[in-house]
Amino acid sequence: MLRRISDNELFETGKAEGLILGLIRDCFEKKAALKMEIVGGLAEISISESEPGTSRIIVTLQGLTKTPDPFSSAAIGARLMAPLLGEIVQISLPYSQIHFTRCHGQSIADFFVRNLALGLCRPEAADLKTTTNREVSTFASKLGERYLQALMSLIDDEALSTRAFTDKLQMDSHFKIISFQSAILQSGARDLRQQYIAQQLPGGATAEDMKDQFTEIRARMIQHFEA
Amino acid sequence: MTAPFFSIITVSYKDAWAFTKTARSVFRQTCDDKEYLIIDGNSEDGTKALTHFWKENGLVDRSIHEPDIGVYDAMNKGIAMATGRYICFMNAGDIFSEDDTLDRVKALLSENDLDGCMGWGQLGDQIWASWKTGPAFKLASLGFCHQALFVRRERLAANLFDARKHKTDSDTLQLGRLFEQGANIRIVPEVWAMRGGEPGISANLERTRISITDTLMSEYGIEKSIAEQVIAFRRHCECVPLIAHLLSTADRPFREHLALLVLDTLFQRPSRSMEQGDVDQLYSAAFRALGEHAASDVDRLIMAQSKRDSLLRDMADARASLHKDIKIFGEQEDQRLAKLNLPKPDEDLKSPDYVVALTSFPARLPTLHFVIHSLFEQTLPPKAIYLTLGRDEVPQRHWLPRALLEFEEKGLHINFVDKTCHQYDKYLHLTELNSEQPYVIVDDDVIYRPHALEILLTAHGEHPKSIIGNRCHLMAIESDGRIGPYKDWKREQTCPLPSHALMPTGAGGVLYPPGFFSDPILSDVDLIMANAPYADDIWLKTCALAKNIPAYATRLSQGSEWYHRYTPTMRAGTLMASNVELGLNDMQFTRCMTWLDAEYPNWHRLLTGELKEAV
Repeated sequence: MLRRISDNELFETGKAEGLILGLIRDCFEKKAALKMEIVGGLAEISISESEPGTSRIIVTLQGLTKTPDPFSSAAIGARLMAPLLGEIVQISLPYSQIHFTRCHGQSIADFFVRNLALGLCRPEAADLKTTTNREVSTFASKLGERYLQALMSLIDDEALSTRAFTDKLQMDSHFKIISFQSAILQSGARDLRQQYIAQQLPGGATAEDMKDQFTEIRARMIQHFEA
Repeated sequence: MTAPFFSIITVSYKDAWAFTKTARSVFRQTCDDKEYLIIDGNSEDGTKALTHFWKENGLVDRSIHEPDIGVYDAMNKGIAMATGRYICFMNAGDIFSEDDTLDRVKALLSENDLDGCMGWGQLGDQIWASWKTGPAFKLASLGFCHQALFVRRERLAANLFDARKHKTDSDTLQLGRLFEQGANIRIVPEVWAMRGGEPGISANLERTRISITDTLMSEYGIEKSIAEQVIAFRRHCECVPLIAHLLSTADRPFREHLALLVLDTLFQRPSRSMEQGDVDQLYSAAFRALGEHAASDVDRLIMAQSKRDSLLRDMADARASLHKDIKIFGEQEDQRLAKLNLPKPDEDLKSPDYVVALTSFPARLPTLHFVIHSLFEQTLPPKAIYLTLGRDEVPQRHWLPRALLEFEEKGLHINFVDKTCHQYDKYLHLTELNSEQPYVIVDDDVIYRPHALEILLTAHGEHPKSIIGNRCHLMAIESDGRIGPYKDWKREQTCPLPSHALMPTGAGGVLYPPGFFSDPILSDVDLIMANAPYADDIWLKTCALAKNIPAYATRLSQGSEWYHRYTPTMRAGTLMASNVELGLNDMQFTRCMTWLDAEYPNWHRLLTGELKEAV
């Protein structure tokens, strides 16, 4: 049972009811997971019955290359912000973790990211995975924006609504530039920084990766100079 | 009285026209919690008059106009004069990147107990991307842009700039020392300042070499030859073996600071010609030299350069998009001009010589040839069009598009002046051309209709002593003859006869009768700066009132008949927002009326007289 939908259908307000309400019902009936995956320029929505035993949300993030799973044991704040540091390419919502079920007036993307945000608040409910194999998609950044909006609706913190927040968060994960009002995000940001730094001590396994990143970004800069 | 949050300080010397940009940028800031101070080296170029204009309009709080021994001496005077909690030096020609920059910086500084913060700077397609805090600034600028630096006043007062005359690197030296003393200054990876196009003091390479050599020898105790080779590496990526050797053998802190300089240099333009082997060797040596901080330092550099890359890509995308728009625009213009099939000019009107003049700036140059083409493709084409450009914005002829230069064969005269006077370049340097012939001023972003110039000249034939405009506004005239607020004016109006109440605007093309510009008041820069530094239209109208010369609106002055279309670069550098929305036009008119009151006390009778006639 698979639906392939376009960018417009994924993000359009009010589409959730018409396009996936039936899938959600099936998901509950079959005690399965509702899965959304960005594939080849489309979003695939499906019911996954192959892992009926699982009860955890799984989100797969593209672009977090520094470590296989830097967030598995992180505090809740760090987990909540992790999807903003990478690009969401897959969300799997087991029926038992679907708490926001309202579809009326919602977009499909909002349905998924609201449930994801709620799941990430509970370490026992969600796993973060990373991948480097996906192609970059316009869906991903839009999903990130929707995820940020979901966070804003759940947590009152003015920092979330500052201009270019996700860019700042990227920088903040290396050295502190954001001051959060909420304790959960403030400690989460600190955890993210500690994890990044811990992964990058000289002599560690990532020195070579760092050199590769240095070489890659330098090559990009030289291209600007040559243009 | 509570001290303001910011002291914004502009240091200027003989740079009045560049200062106009900076002051307007400060004026546009949404943050009011600031004082604005001007430190001028006693310039005789209109700087004092411009300062007076902004004092009268409530922007400038205090100023000094006296000789100094250099820019850092002037900046130290600014520190002494400041009362704000944080100081930013926004020198003549530089501007803030956004209107809410100060508000955003204030929020950051208010929420955190910081000694300061530093954003990034931009000049054209270059971005100054600071990434590392610490005393290494004594050795190199590391992406530092002083216009984007905000530092607690007490910190600066205790660490004044080295004001010796030969010094050109006192800002980075001061910053390094602030960090050495433990100042908590945070980097924010956002562009906060746009640097002026004019070369700063550090553009003098030899003077800078001497200054930095002096700093390196005194701060690190290294020999002159070593210091010079470090500079050679920084500038040209030369002396790689020596630099690699120093990274292994030099003492701390020089070794660590040099490592940061090396990493930063590998992201600068001169490094593009380096062999990959040399890059790898230097990277490894720098990484080792940084010791336990290496990973976090390199990571910060990668993050900062990724952001810089992203900004540069956005700019490249915008350029590509504009290029595409220009291409389409060009094709449409070709089709329009092919269909024109202009009749031969009327022999009676063909004979009078007249001058067409305009000015431009880099952002509009890619489309300027379309404007020039529309001015030559006229029913009564001009024999000559004069384009004036400032070398401080367009240093070389070869910066100009070929498509523009090709019009030189048809009568385009390109007139370079040392420093731009912005919109006043349309006439300030060419007044003698108007001594015996009409002088038409046009804009650089408008495609003119094919009969626009003929209509101006025909009206000139009927009203030879009037100013003729293809686009005129009817000013709001109050009962005492004074001019009302700009918002109350009626846009694009005609009158059956010439009228003092009509205000021609340059965009439509304005014809000035022979001899109009001969009066020295038109070109008096002190008067211009004191009264209408941002609107030549307003100053020219003021002078017309002083000289009792009315304006006549042609039939094109209605329903947007006066132009065919704008070019795709129209939005670049437009003055519309600050001149109209923020009330700068009204400020200038108020100043001009005050000047008229003093110099020509009866001027408003011209307008009351017309009112009575109308009644």
